[in-house]
Amino acid sequence: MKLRKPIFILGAVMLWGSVLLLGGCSPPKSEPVKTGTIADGDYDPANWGKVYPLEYDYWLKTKDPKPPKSKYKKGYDTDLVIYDKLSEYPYLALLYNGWGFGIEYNESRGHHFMLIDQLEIDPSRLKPGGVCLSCKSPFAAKLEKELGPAYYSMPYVDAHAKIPVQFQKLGAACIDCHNNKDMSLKISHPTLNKALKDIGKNPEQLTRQEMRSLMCAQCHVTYIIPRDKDMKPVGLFFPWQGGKEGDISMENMIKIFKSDPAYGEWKQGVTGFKLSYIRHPEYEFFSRNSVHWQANVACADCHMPYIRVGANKISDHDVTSPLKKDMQACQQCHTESPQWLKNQVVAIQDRTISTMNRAGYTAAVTAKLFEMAHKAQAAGKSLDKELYDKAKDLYLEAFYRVNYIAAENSVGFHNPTEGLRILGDAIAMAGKAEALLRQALTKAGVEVPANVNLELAKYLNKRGVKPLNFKPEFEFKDPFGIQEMLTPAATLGR
Amino acid sequence: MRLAKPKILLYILGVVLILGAAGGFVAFGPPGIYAKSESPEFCGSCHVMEPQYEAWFHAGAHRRQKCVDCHLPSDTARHLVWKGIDGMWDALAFHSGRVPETIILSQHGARIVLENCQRCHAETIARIKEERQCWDCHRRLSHKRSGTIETRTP
Repeated sequence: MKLRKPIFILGAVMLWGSVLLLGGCSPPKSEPVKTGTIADGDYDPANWGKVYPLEYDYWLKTKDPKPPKSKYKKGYDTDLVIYDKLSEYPYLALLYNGWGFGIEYNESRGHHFMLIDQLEIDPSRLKPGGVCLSCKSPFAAKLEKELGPAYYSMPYVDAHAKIPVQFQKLGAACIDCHNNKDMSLKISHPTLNKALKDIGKNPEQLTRQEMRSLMCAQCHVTYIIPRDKDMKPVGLFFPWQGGKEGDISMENMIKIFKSDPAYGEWKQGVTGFKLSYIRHPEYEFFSRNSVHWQANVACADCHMPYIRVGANKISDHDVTSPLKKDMQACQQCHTESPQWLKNQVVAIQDRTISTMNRAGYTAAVTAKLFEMAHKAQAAGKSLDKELYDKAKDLYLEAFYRVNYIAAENSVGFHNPTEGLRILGDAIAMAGKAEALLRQALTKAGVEVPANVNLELAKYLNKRGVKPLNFKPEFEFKDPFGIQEMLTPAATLGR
Repeated sequence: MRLAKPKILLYILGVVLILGAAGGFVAFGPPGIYAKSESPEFCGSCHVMEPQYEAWFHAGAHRRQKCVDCHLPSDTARHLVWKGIDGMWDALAFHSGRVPETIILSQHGARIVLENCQRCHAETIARIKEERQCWDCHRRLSHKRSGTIETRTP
């Protein structure tokens, strides 16, 4: 008895031990050889590239001109031309006249040129100051912390000079998105953290797939630079308050613009109105329940797709339009040919361009009517206040919508139905504003022509210090030829 | 009584050994029941599995892999344990008729499949980190979307 119990226990232990041994020893996880470590606070992408050479090689390719395979987003293609957006969309030259965006506004080049483009553009674009570095340099967060509120308003060149010399042309780098220890994704531009809290998301608890979109949302979002009474920048934030994840709307943004006069960043030349402004709202646009957002597709899934380099799968760090990479990213899920897929994209973009034409020119006509109205008022005529105020309100709503879609870089593709919805609203609002103004002007005895001459040549030529002029070969005319019915070429005043 | 105990134990041991030998013979000997139960034909022998079997049969890349290569853990101990458990549940469900119209992989099943994806493709995925299921993007692997939907028997 006394001997059997320990033997029994020993036997049981050996039996279960061998079962666990069989089950517990799995082969080790395959890991690539680590060729070094990256020091904390090392901004130099070349050092990161020593440890992750494949991704680094592809990141370097953002410098290279791309094949000219996108119909509407030419950027920096193999023709080495920098495309002037004001020539592509002449109505924008009228609408943005009054500040930097009405002087020089180009199609962007690759990420490599983020900061370089700021150094080469007309200086009127850099009037706000150091705050302009916030989305262009990995050092921005550090500068913001070190310099405090002075960072926002100090002259751009002074803030830029505080970046270490060897990094003064460095745009988006590894440190913008990655933790140096384990390459996990981290938010490095602090404005996004605040914006996430505003929409009820905890920046500490984000899934990897959410991060794969939010990395881009550090910069590919719209923002407001609130000004003090001397129009000097005093801060930076995203107008997301009142929104939710997947529902940061145009309507909400306009509400925020109207809520505080400090958010009026510029004076529109043609109308004299103090306006806010919308910049590249890709994240807000895409996340508003577009079909791909609903399918849980992140920005990186299309713009940094997995590619095979040798034996390994890596994310393609050459961030660009999928059109310029032969729709490789799309083909992972969509089984049709690249040509078929491209036709779909171009169809969406053609329709968006056509509707943008409609909205942009309607807003431009309304702006010109305001100019006429203000001239009449200056000459002593008095306009019906109710009609004028209603017209102004509608005009502002229309302007911001045109601004939104013009600033968004997918020409509608990121969310086609929402894009057309916004533009449709813009057309309706600008149209009604035009009608009310015509009524007010006629009531005051002012003769208003049926077709208002937009005098575009005035806004398109001799812009800025370079100076820049209209390039008609760049213009995106209405692909369906409808705009001619509404604003005949003769009245454009080119 | 003191003498009977060891004798009973001996008899029990004897029976166990004989059963074990018989079982071992049937499973691994000429009848080869174990190998047969690992084969896709065995899985496909329950008629509700026919669409999945046909989809695999017509598929490209994973045609040389057996069902169990993806759907059961690869290390021996867990393989045997889950073979037994899943097999029993499947047999019970089938014979009691409680099979859903659309057979979908369970959460635990998905974990096992993912583990096996990562086991075979370890080199390729060594430089990426993903939280999603592989088949969220590699959609034509799953039985339903590999192009044989017309074989779904009514």
